[in-house]
Order: sequence, then C-alpha cells, then structure tokens
Amino acid sequence: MKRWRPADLLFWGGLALVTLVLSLASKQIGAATGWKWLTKFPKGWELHADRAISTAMKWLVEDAALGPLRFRDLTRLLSALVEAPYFVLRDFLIDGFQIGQGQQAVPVLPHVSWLVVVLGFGLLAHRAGGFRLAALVVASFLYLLLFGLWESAMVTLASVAIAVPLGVGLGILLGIAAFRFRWVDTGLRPLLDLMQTVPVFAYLVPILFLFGFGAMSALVATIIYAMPPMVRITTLGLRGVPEEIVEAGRMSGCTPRQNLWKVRLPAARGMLMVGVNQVIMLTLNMVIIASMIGAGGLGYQVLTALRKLDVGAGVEAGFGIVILAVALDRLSQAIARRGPVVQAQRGGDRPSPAQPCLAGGGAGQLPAGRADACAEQLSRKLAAQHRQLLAGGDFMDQHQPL
Amino acid sequence: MEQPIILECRNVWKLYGASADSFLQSHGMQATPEALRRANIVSAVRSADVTIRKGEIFVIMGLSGSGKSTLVRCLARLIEPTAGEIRFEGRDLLGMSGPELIALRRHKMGMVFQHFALLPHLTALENAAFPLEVQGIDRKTRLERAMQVMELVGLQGRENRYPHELSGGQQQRVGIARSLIVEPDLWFLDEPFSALDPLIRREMQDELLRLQARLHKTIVFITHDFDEAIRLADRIAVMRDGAIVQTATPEELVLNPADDYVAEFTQHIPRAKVVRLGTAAKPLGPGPFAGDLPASLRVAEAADRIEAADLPFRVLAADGAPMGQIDGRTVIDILIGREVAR
Repeated sequence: MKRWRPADLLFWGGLALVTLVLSLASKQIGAATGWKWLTKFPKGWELHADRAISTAMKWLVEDAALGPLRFRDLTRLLSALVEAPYFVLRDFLIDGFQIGQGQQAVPVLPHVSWLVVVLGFGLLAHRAGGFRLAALVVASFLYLLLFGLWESAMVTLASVAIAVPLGVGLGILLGIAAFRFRWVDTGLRPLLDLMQTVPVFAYLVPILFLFGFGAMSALVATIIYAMPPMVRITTLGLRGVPEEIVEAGRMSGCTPRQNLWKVRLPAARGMLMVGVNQVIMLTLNMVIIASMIGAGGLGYQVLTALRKLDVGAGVEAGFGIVILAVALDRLSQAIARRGPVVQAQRGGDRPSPAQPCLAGGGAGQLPAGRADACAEQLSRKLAAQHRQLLAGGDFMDQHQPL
Repeated sequence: MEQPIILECRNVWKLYGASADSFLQSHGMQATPEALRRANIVSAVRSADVTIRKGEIFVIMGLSGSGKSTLVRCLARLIEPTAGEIRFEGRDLLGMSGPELIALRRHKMGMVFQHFALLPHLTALENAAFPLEVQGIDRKTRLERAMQVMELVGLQGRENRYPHELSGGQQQRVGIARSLIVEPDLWFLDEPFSALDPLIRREMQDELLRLQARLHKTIVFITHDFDEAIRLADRIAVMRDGAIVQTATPEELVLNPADDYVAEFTQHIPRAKVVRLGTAAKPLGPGPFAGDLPASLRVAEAADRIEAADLPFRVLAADGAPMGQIDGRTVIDILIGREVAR
C-alpha cells in the first residue's frame, strides 16, 4: 500500500469538498451568481452532429461523384452485380424464369419442383455425410413443406446461398490481409468491433439510403453482421498453424505466396470451417431483420406474424429458420470435411491452435470442452437480439413500406 | 582421403533480445554467458563452428534448450543467424537472395521434422510429392516420382491414406519420403524419431542406416538421445547452453571426453559397442595368429570370435598392412568396462 503524500491528501480532500458543496448548494450558488449552468447543462452547449451526418449522407447519395462516376451509380452497379445471380437462383428455386417485367411478363421456364430440390439436397447430403445427414436434411425440408413455408424458405435459401459465400470469401481475404500486414490488422480490429457492436437497426437506414429497398440492402446488412467472425477466425487460424508445418513448406521450396495458399491456409482449414459455421448461423440470424429491408422469405413470415401477434405462425416460421440453419450448417461442414481437417499432432510440445467460441451462432462444430462456454455466449447473444427486436418496435411500425 | 566439405559454418551466433546485434558487435568474442545474461539477451547459439563433409552422418547432440534445433535452422537458414558465416558447397548461404534460397531448397536440401509436419489435407502420396508440386511439375510425373520414394521408405499400399490415418512411424516415413523426393545433397533430420515409441524408434534408426547405405547422402541429424547419436553418427557435435562443447567421432567422445559434461553422457555407453579393433589393438607380436580382422570393426562385433580363439588375431589397417594384435583378454577388459590401456 502506497503512503499518502501531503500533496495527494490536499488534492483529493479539496476535490471531495468541492463536490460536497456543489451537490448540496449548487442551486443557491447558481441563484446568487447567475451561473445557471451549475445545475443544468445548457442546451446551447450540446453538439449537433446528427444534422451534419444526415446532410453528408444526402450529399453522398445524391451528389457525390468521382469525375463522371457518381457514387449512386457505383452502388447501383454493385447492386446489379450481386442481385443478378440472386435473382437467377430465385427464379430457379421458386419464381420461375420470365421475360419482361410486371404485367407483360412472359413465363419462359417454370421453377424447379419441390421434389427435385428435396431429392437433390438429400443426395448431396448422402454423398457428403452418409445416411444420417441425408435423413436430417430431408426431414428439414419436409418440415418446411408440411408447414406451408416452402416458398418463403426458397427465397431465404436463395439469399443465404449468395450471402454466405460472399461473407466467407470476403472474410478470408480480409483475414489474410490482417495476417500479412500489421497495419491492416490494427486498422481492421476496431472496425470489426464496430461491425459487431453497432446495433443492426442503427445501420439499416443508411444502407437503405445507399442501396434502396431490396435484396442488395439485405445482403449488405447481413454481411456486415455475419462476416466479422470469419475475419477474426481466419487471422487466428493462420497464426495458429504449427511453426513446423510452415517450416516444412519453406524447406519444400515454397515461395512466400505458395506457403500462404498451399500450406498455411489448408492447414488452418479446421479453424476456417468454424468460421463458415459462424457465418451461416449469423446469416440466418439476420433473416428476420433483413426481411424488413427487402429480403422477404422466412424472415418476412415471422415479421408479419409478429405484427399480427400471431404467436403460432411466428413460432412455425421461426422454427423453419432454425431448421434451415442447422441443415445448411451440417451439410456445409460435411462437404468441407470430406477431406480430413484435423491434424493428428502426436506428443507435440507446440500449442495446438485454440478453438475460440466467437460471438454468437450455433455451438455446432466446436470441441466438446468449449460447449458450455459457447452455450452461455449463445444464450446471452440471443437475449440481446431479443431486446433489439423489441426495441425496434416503433421502427417497424413507422418505417415499414408495406 | 578426405571428402569435400559440403556445409561449413564459422562463428555462428543466434541471440534473442532487444539489443542483440549491437551487443555482439561491441563485445565480440567476449560475449560470455554471464555478460549476455546481464544484458538481458537470450543466447540460443554461441559461436558455433561446424564442418560437414560429403557423405557423412553428422549428429548434433544436446539436451532440450541447448540450441541444437536453432543451430540446424540457422544452417538451413530457416532462422537468420545474428552473426557468423555459413557456406554451402562454397557459396555464401547468408548472402543469398530469396529466389536463390528457394532454388537451393528445391534441389539441394531436404528436411525431416520432429512432429512430421505433414499437410493434413493431402494424402501420403500427395504429401511426398509436395516439393515437386510447388516447383510446378505436372501431376502425373510428380506422383510417379512420389510412388518411387514411397516404395523406398516402405510405404507402398498406403499412398492414399491421409496423415491422420497413419501411425506416427508411418507419418515420419512420409516425411522422409517428402524430404528425399528432390534428391537433396544435404539432408537435415531434426529429432526425427523423438516423437516415436522406443521400439519404432529403433526400427526407424535401422531404416535410416539402410537408406544411407543406399543413397550416401550428407546427413545432419539432431537428437537429444546420446545412444541414438552413437548408433548413427560418423561424427558428433555435443552442444551445451548454445555452444558446441566437443566435435568428435563416437569413439573419441567415449575415450576422450572433453569435459565432465560430455563424460557424463559417455560413461553409460558400453565401450565395446564404440571402440574399434584398431584402437584397442596391442603392438604386433611375433605370432602365430588365429586370423586377420579389419581395424574398423567394433570390438563387440568381433568379441565372440576373438574370445573363442586360443591365439590372438592380427588387426589390419584399411590398406591391408598389419597394425597390431588383439587377444581375448583385451576384449574382456573392454567388455566388462575395465580401463583400456592405450
């Protein structure tokens, strides 16, 4: 314990005295001296960045341009690029291919039959993970059929099929960049924190401004929400590759690039699959919120049920999301696992890469020892989400353009 | 007839610490362990001199933390030494550019690792072929070559298993196959058998000797096991606290340990398994003799015959000239560990 010096005593004692006087008699002092600000923080001193931000946003959407290329054109181009495969997939699964727009639309090809989808996924699951996985996947799809969720589920499936590969791909690239360059890591870390902590509802409106109501907005919001764990896990996984394996790559004559793509990345595959699991889970987690800005699908079913206080329909559709998430996750894990993922380290004195439980998602593929911690994190995360949803109540009523 | 030098390193240092570079420049050879410790610098390798000749098995022996793994990584330039000079086939290894070094590793060096370091996503065959893959050799050619080395290490029939489906010994055979596929001149083995069970370890040592008898590589072998060192080595460098204490043949180490530290390792080694007839022989007497034996034979290998005969044996040098004689009594002295008169 450090001894108090007289100067310290004087300082802290004085501070305590001032605090005491202010808390007991600030009103009287204010009245006597005319210093009203002693009791109430003056309105005029508050900063108003909100208007500036709104103006900046407006400028960005309407006027910002780099030479002849307007920012709005850029976002439109991006939207078109991403939405094209989405709509093809959607047409294939549920809408059917058409030529023309609206009333004049001429059907060209019908969408694929539900039987084909169920059997196709069943066969894929059987090849990747055997009979049990096939049974799980087919049962999941049967649930969606039996409860009349098929069309919504296919819309959701189409958006997930675009969002997950994009999220995983971007996440891996950013993760590699953060692994290779220290400054990327330093810059990315607070950004990822931001992406994971800023409530989804806070960035829904700016995204709507930039990309408009539709699949693209939903996709951007989903990726912001679902990608951060992939980035973190990629960096962690690359760092966790045993030094000996990297040395073996170097002694085999790898260039630095080969060592990254042919040695480090594949050797970290087990970890990367944890990341994929997280992205899938978080993407389906966003399905409801994304449906508010145009994703439609199962999330929209839950949303309408919620608004009508139709608990039964809400539970049905909500459970549909869970089932789709589990089926897709198990399937993707099985596909990636067909080659071996875990490296048998015998008598190693090197630390095996930790398998952290990153924010949210299912506890699906995490080692048993971490299951408890994961379950706890998961429940906390779900509770937070629940609060968010309730807090977003007025937002839904006021801004839903439906 | 001395073989040409393949790898030579002079005064190699590897220090870890904030001021390692400047410290070494200012202190030079006076960088004693005490001075280093005071400067808060960890010394992994201190002033190591190594000369490795073509075709020999050079063992670097030391307990864990003695710096042997760091030294071998400096020799392969997986780690940059703090100071010193390393020449590989006469070329300055430390002055080489990245591409030169990659070319060197692709054609002249191979390395086997303690924990095998196989790539988990490739089959045994693909692992063995990996060094050829990164060279851009087409799949068919490289897998054919890989089949040959897999046969060489006795793994035919298991080519398509993944590493985690193989036992430790089999995994290390894959590691050996991978390191041999480029037909390296210099072959590093970093504690290759330390992670294996004792029985498998012995089997793998025999396997290594068999391979070496066939391939005649230059081998740098790291181990913490003195028995293993004795069994395999042509010459041994004993390391302690980052410095090489003694470099000698197993026989010299056992008979003339440089200090108490080395003596502690050697005292439990059966002399008869190390000492050769040429060393144990007494001056040549008038005869008659029971027969001739080569001087390079170890005492243990000839003990039965010498002990069974009534007459001494004549010991012949490599050129065939008689250099002395050995009788049953001398052999028994060595076998039971009585001091050998030299």
